[in-house]
Amino acid sequence: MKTDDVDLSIPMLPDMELTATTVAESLGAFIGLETTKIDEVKMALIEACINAFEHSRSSERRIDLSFKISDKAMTITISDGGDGFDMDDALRRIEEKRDKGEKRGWGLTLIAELMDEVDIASSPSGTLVKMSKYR
Amino acid sequence: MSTESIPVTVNGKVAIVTAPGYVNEKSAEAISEECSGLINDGVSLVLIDMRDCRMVNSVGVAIIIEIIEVLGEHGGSLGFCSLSETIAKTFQIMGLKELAGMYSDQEEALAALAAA
Repeated sequence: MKTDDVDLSIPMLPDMELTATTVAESLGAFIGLETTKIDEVKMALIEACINAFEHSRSSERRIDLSFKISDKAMTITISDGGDGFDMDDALRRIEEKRDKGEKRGWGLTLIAELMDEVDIASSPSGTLVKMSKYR
Repeated sequence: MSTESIPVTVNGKVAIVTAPGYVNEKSAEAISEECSGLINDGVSLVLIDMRDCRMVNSVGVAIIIEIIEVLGEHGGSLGFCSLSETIAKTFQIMGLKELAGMYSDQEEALAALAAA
């Protein structure tokens, strides 16, 4: 384990995403991230967690988070160990929802808009969301 | 039926609903139930005071959008006040700025909603 990483594993239970946001808030303060940026990280983290809870179909019913802090950024990696998904298909379905005026399905959009860098890798062994907020 | 308690007060024609610290699916449904009751009582102007709210999730916000639509069907409207910068940004991303007024505080909101 690297000394500048904080690792957390949480069960997929209602409001358990708040445990993750508590860690993010604490680490954000630790590296001197502005309050607004911490709030944006928390909001994006909530969306990443509930996406994993709702869509991963993980048999373990847990997600693993790794928080990496540096003097430049906070980077959070969320891993769900689920079935994975096709990003192109997901983006197409999001666009269809927007066209129909549906109110749900905003998670990925919010993560992309609130964080400075987002990378999502998905395969049949799970989805990895890596997102960073710069100081 | 949601068991979460949502404070509601009435100021003239406007019902003021105080949002909790985290607007998620459960608390948004509780807000929705309160608003349904208000509509049944003939109240159609609703202000959601966000002063205590520090986090929302998109499922909760989607339910709030449904509330806005129902109020609109009854000739009413909804506004928000005292939003944090990040929640205001989140609402903007989700298109709420086009659907509901956003005000800096209760005083401004009440004046705008009553005049509408």
